[in-house]
Amino acid sequence: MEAVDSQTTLVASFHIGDMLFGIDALRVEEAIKVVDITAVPHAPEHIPGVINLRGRIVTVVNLAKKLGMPESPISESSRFIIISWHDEYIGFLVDSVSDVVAVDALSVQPPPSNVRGMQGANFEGVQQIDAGLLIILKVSAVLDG
Amino acid sequence: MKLFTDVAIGKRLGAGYAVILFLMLFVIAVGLMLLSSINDKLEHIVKVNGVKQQLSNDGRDAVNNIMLTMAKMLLVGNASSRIEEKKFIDEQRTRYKRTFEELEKLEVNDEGKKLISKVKDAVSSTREANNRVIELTMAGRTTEAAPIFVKESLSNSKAMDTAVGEIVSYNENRTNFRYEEAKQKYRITVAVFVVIAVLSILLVVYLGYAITRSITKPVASGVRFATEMSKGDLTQTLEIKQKDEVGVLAGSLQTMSGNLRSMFKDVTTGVQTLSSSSTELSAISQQMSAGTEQTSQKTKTVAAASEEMSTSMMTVASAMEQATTNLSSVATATEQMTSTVREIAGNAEKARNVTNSAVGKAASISDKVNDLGTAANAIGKITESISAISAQTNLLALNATIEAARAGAAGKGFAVVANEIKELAKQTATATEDIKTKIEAIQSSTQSNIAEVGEISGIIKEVNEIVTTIAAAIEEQSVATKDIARNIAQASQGIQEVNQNVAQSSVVSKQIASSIAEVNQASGEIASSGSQVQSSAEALSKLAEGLKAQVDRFKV
Repeated sequence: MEAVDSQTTLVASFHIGDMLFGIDALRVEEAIKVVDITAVPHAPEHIPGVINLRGRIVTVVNLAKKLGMPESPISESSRFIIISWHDEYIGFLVDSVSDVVAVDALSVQPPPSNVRGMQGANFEGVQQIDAGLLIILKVSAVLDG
Repeated sequence: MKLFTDVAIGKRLGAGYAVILFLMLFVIAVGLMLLSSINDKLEHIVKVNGVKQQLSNDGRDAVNNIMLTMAKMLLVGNASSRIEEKKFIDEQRTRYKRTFEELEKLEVNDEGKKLISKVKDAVSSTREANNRVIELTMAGRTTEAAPIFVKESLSNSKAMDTAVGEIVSYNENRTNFRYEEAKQKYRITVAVFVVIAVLSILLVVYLGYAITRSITKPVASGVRFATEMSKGDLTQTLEIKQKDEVGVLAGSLQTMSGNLRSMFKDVTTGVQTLSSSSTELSAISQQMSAGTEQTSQKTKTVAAASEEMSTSMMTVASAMEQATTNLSSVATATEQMTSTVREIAGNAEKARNVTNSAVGKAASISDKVNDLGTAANAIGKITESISAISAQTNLLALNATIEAARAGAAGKGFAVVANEIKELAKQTATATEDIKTKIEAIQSSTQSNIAEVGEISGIIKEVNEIVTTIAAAIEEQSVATKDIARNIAQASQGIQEVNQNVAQSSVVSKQIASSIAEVNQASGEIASSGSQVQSSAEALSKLAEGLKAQVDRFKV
């Protein structure tokens, strides 16, 4: 594990489709395997429903849908990434989780205005790592927008 | 004039004659009438006026006689002569009485009648005096009588005479008057006659001319037409459109000319047809001749052919001999084949038994290999569990790292633990992959073994089938061989039949030969008929030419 200093951020990376995204690890509560989703009537399209995580209600967000990407069906490798958001827990449905990587804040590029049709406002920035191009998500933009 | 031409000739002539007759009768009638009138007048003159004249004279004469006699009586006379003269006077009185009565009867005019009555008055006025005279005279008292006679009778008789003279001159006048009348009538008659005569003559001349012309003109055209026709010109037309006999005749001539024209045209056509037909007939009979020639040739060919057939029959007979020999050798061969077949059948059985056992062995191998496959699958399942453990471990590592990060400085120790877990996850993953690979290898090997065993099984099955097929084929062979044997028997029989047929054919070909002779004869007859037809056709042709010459004389 690399040394953590003030300029290094730990980013939890995951795949949606063939694209590599990342969320700041400090924001992430945990990652779990996919469990049964209880559907919520009149919920928006990107919210398939809710789950019960050790007594807590977690709102599931289909991140692919939210970002406007083509969806993939839920598979063995699909995971929920649980984050806390304004006193509630959100579970991002992703296709697979990857490593937690250390990202040098200085080498983070500003995001392009448009990535494969997704608004650039959703992203903090992009970073080239060994596994490929990491797109760091701006959670506030994703959940508020 | 249509009136002339449309009435029948007889009627026309009759009418003409009738007109003439009528005119004649009319003239005669008028003439007779006028003549009769004249005659009447003449008669009147004679019968009436003349007679009247006569009577008047007669009457005067009688009266004068009476006077004279009275005088005579007075002057001369003796008793006896006076008696005679009195008788004479009475006679005369009777005479003039009768005369004046007749005159009165004849007189029809008032003037005349007046004169007559005047005379009668005169007579009657004198009568009394005369009677007295006569009386006196008869009594002999002539001296008394004479002065009465002189004074009264004579003057009376003069008056009477004058009156009678008036009558006479009146009658003369009347006679003249009638004469003038008659002359006038005559003049009128002459004038009327002349006028009627002139008119009649004109009318008769005109009628005569018109009627004659109405007959002769069309007849002349008809004659012209007929003359032309007789010369052979049938193209003329006759334009006579009348409804009388001449018209009918002209129409008939026209029709006749037309009919003759069309008839000749038809005849001409017919002659042409005849000509061409006879030519055709000629050609046909020639063809027939040629045909019979051919028939003759053909019959010769057939005769030759039947000769050949006879020869062929003999060849066939010898061939049959040969066939019979061959059949016997075939029969022998078939026997041999049967025994061979039996051998093969036995061997095929043995082969089948062997393959059956091979199939059984292959099946058991297959089962064992299947067991191997099942075991490999079981191992595979275990691998899956190991994989799941690996994934879970990975997740654990991730979460640990996250917790460590969130813990910040306090989480450094935990971070080490998290790292170890990550390593563990990696190793597990690697080991799992390894096992997976090996199992896959075993599985694929197993699969190929199964496939090979399957192939061997399949091959053995094929061999089995082939052997079965051979066995079946052998059976069939056996059946076929029996068939052959039967066929040989039939063939033998067939050969017998053929021999019989050959014998028959000989008979038949003899029949053919005689038939050919008949055909030959028949074609000979046809040939002679053909030449007859030919000569007939020629005669026909000549006839057609003759007709044509005849017809050509006429212009149509």
